[in-house]
Amino acid sequence: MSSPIARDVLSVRDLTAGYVADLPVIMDISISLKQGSLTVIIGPNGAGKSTLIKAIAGLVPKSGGSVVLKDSEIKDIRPDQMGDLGLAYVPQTDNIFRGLNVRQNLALSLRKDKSGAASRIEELYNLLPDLRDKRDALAGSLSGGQRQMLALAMALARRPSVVLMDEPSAGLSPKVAEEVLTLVADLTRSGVSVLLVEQNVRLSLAVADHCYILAEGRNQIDGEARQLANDPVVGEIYLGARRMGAA
Amino acid sequence: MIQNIVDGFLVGSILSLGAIGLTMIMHMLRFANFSHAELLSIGAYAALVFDAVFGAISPILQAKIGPLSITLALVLAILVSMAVTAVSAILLDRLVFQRIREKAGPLSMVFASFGMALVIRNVIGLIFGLKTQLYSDEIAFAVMLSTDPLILVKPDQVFVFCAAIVIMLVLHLILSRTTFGFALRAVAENPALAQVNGVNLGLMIGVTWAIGGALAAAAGVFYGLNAQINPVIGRDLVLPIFAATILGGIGSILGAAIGGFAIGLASNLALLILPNGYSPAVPFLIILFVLMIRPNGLFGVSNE
Repeated sequence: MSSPIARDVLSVRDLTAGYVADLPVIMDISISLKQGSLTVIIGPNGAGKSTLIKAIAGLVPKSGGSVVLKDSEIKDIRPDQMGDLGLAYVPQTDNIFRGLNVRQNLALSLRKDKSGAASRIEELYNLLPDLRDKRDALAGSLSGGQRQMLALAMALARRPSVVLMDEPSAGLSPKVAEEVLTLVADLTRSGVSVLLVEQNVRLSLAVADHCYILAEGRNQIDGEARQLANDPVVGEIYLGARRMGAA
Repeated sequence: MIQNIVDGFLVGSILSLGAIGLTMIMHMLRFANFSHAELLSIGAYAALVFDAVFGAISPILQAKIGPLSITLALVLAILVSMAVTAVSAILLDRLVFQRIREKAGPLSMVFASFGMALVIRNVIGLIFGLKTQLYSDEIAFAVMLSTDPLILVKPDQVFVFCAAIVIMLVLHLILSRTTFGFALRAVAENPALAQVNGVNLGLMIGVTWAIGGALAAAAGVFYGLNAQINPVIGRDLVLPIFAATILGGIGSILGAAIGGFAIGLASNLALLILPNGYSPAVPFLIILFVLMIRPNGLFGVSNE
């Protein structure tokens, strides 16, 4: 959990971005991320949640606004240089290299830190013991949960200060999804800040510190995750309270 | 028949080198590059030029190596031609294909590759003429390995086969044991994910073209050592190289290597039952057969 005096490690101001020039998907979005916190972004399909974190990661062109990471603006930086700045991104799907084994996937993520790679891989195996057992298995042969663990380990490999995750629970069974999100929440204790896009609203609000709700490419509501989880308006729109009540 | 198998393995080793480069580029950039076989021509002629240059610089380099008709000058020329062709491949991408893929789709890339194949072939013809040339004018005598059945092998052919295998093994070790190799494979599988894992996409695309060009150069020189050098080497080999790539599966290095040997063997064994003129049709039939039965080839994975 974030402390009340934690500083902003990531600050997004009035960000406008889209895949095609002059056709923005997200408009004037502002968010901030406290050090050691878990912030979740929720919203209906097409709200621009995934586009937002892809734009922060440098994978979608920005046409306005700014992204500041640890007091330095991220500008004109290639996606492959983001890791050097302490920013890691985990895509929703295809987030591991199926043709490489688990160890090779981790070694690839640590390519720029060859001297400390072996010890760091051991640390990651200690953090996620399932990966040690599967270290020689092709990543394409892993289960959905194990793939998310590997994707998370790859993101953590270079000790980022901020991890951006796009729907890590997608396609997983409820039990495995809960395990993955709990693990993500536990990571923040080590000081890592996580910005999470999720469709699993109940579960993500239960583990997150802060929440932003997007709709139609813009900020709508934000606040403490637990408060929003108990907010009747949010509950009606995003948690299906009316349908549940009607039933 | 055994002679056909021996010849098949030899031709197969040359096709494998061409197919490995092609499959790497096709898998990474998602387009069928019909100009790849012209890189074999560039390599073959570059080696011809540098062989003459090195031979003129130092008479010592004109000495033949053991029973081979190959000189030290030619060995050096092969290495230089691999570097020259690697640079040519990078320039081909930077000047033509990179510009097209930034603005157009894979189909435009395919048509551009057809065009570039014609341009390269004709430029080589303009510079070097259309007549066939040889690395050595001396007659290379074959060694009789067996009289019954009759098996004849030239020492140069043994050199070509062994050199091709060594090159493939070195590439295999790089791709399977080094993080640089992991990065190359990662970019081919998922370029966007490779980028967010710290891999410089533009650099790796350039490296892939360079590797493809270097392997093509070796294949071109080896083909020239086994047969003759002429400006239509690319035209003659484009189909067998594509057949080897498709048979092995787009993106599979092992598949391309095995595919090359399979096409080489099939083409040479076909000579036992088909008239000589029909043998070039065999790779085409194999392409059709593979696409119908197993569209992803023996070891290929779908990009979807």
